[in-house]
Amino acid sequence: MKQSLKAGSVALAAVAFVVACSSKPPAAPPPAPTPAPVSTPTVVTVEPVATPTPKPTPKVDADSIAGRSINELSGMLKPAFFDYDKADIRSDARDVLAANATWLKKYPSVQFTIEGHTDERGTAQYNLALGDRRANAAKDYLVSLGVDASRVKTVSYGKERPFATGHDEDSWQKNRRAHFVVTGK
Amino acid sequence: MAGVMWAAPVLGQAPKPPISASSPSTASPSTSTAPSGFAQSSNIDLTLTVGAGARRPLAIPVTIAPLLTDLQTRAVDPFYTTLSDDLGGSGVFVVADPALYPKAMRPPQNREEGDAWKATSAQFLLDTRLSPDGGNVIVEALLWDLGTLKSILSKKYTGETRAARRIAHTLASDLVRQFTGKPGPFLTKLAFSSDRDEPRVKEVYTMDFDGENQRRITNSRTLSLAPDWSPDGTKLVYQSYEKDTPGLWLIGKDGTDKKSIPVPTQLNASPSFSPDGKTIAFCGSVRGNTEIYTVQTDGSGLKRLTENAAIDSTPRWSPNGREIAFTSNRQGTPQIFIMDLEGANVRRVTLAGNWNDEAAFSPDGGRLAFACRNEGDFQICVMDLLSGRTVQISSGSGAHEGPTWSPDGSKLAWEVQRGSSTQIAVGNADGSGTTRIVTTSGNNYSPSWVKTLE
Repeated sequence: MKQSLKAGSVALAAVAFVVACSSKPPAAPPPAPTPAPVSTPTVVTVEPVATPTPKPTPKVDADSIAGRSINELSGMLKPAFFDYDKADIRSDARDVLAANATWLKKYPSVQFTIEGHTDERGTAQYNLALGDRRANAAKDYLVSLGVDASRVKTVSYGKERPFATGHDEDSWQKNRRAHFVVTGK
Repeated sequence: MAGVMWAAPVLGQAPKPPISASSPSTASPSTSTAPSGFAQSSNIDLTLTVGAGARRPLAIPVTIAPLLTDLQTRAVDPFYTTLSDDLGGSGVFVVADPALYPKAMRPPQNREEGDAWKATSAQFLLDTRLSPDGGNVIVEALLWDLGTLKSILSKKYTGETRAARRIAHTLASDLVRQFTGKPGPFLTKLAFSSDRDEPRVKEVYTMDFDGENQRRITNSRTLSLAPDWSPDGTKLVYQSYEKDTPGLWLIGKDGTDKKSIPVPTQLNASPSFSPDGKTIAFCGSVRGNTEIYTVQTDGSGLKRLTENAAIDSTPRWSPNGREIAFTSNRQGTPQIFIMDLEGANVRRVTLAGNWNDEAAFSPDGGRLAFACRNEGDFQICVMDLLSGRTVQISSGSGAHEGPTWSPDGSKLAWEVQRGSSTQIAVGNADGSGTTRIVTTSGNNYSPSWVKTLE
C-alpha cells in the first residue's frame, strides 16, 4: 500500500512540477549556483532514521491521517539530501520534495518543521548557517509546488544533531539533509 | 611551525615533568628584563617572534612544608602542581629539570651553592614554603637571582587551605608581572559548551583556565551554544534553542538573570559582545540567507551590516570597537573578512587556504587567530594583521576550531577533535611550549576566554 501511494505521488508530483515550472513559482528556490560537477556523489537512497515500525495492516482508511501518530506522519515525509557545502536542490531531492508536496497538499491540516542538517566537516557556526540555508531551500521548493508557506517552520541544527555518527562519506551524506518533522495534523 | 607537544590532562596528577628547553625561543622585545647571555641550548626560530620574550630559566624546587599528610594532599601538592604548571606553561620561563636540583642549599648561601643551582641551567630560583595556620595556610615565596645571589621578589600570601591552588595562581601571576610588566592569565576563566549532561543537549559551563572548578551555568535541557563573555566578565551571551527556534540569550556568570534578546531574525548564532558591553553582533538569517547584524542587549536597534546572497557568519568584534571580523563564502570558499560598523570598507584578510573561519582579534587588536585549513584538518593560525604573516600554532590530526585569546594575549584556547572526542585545549599564542587538554567529561566545545585579568 505504501509503495503504490509513493508511486502515485511521484507521478502526481511530476505533473505538479511541470505546472509549477511553466507558471513561474511564487517563490524561486534560493540563489542556486549550478552544482559543482566535480563532486556529485553517488545518490544514496536512505530511509529516514525514525521509520515507524510497520504495524500489521491497520484497519484504517488509507487516506486517513486521523489514526496515525505524529511520528508515523513524519515518516511519510522523506528527507532531501545535499552535496557537500551546498544548499542547491539536487535532482533526487526534487523527486523527494515533489512527493512530499503531493502528500502535504492532500492533507492540508498537517503542520511541519523542516530541519536543516550538515555533515561534521567545517566549523559548527558556519554549518549552522549552511543548515539554515538547506532548510529554507527545501521550504522554498515546496512552496513553489503549491504548499502553503504558513504550514512550514524551519530550523537549522548544523552539525549538532547528526543522524549517522560515522566519519566517512556514507555518514556525511546521511547528515547533509533537510529533515521533515510533522508537528500537528 | 612550533613543535607542539601533547600532555595528558593534569587534573589531580602529580607534577608534570618540566618542559624541555628545546622549545623555540625568540629575540627579546624591549620589555625583557632577563639577564643577557643566558644559556639558550636550542635553535632559534625567527618565525615565532609574535609576542614572545626570552624565556627565563627557572628552578622550582618542591615546596617546603611540615610533614603532615593531610596538609600535603590538600594544600602542598595542589599548590606546587599548579605553580609549576602555570610557570612552565607561561611562555615566560623555562623550568629547569627537577632531577638535577641539588639537595638543600635553599636559599644558596654562597657562590658555590649558587653555582650548584646554576648547573641545572637555571638563572632564577623560586623558593616556596607553606605552613598551616588554623584553617588557613601561609605561603612565603622568594625569588632568587642566582647570578647576584640576591632575592629580587618576596611575597607572602594567606588563605584558606582549600584556596591553595588560587594562591599558586596568584604567585605565578605576580612572578610573570615581575618580568613582563603585566600579570599572567592564571586567575582567569573560560566559558564553553558541553554535552556531558544528556544526549542531544549542550549546556554552557565555566572553568578556571587550567580546567579546574568546572561549573554548569545554564539549565536549558536543549542546545545552548557558543558563549561569549561580556567585557566586564559578569555575564555571557549565547545561542540557545530554548524556544522553538534558536535565539540569543544573556545569563549571569553564576547562572542567574537569564534573559532572551528578542530579535526578528532566524538562526541567531555566534553572538559577540561589543567592547563597551552594549551591543551584540550575531549571525541572523532571513529566509535562509545569513547576514551579520548588531543589536542592543535589550533587543532594540537591530541593524544589518552585510547584504550578500552568500553565507556570512561568525562575527567577532575588534577590541577598539570599530571593526567586525566575520566569515563569508562570497568569493567561493569560506574566508575571513573585516568590515567597519556601517558594513563598509569590507576587506578580505585570509588569502591562503580553502577554509578560514572563526576569527578572533587578539586583545591588543594586532593579531587575528582563526581556524585555518588547506588540506587535511583545521588547525589554529595566528595572523599578524599589519604584515599579514601567518603562523600555524597547533598541530596533530583532528579538527582544531574556535580559538579564543587569554586577556593578556599570551595564550589561546580552542576545541580539538581526537577521534570521536572533542575537548578544550590551551596553548601559547606563539606556539611555544606544551598544549594542554583541560577538559575530559563528555565533549566540550566553543571556548570563550574572559576578557579582563582579574
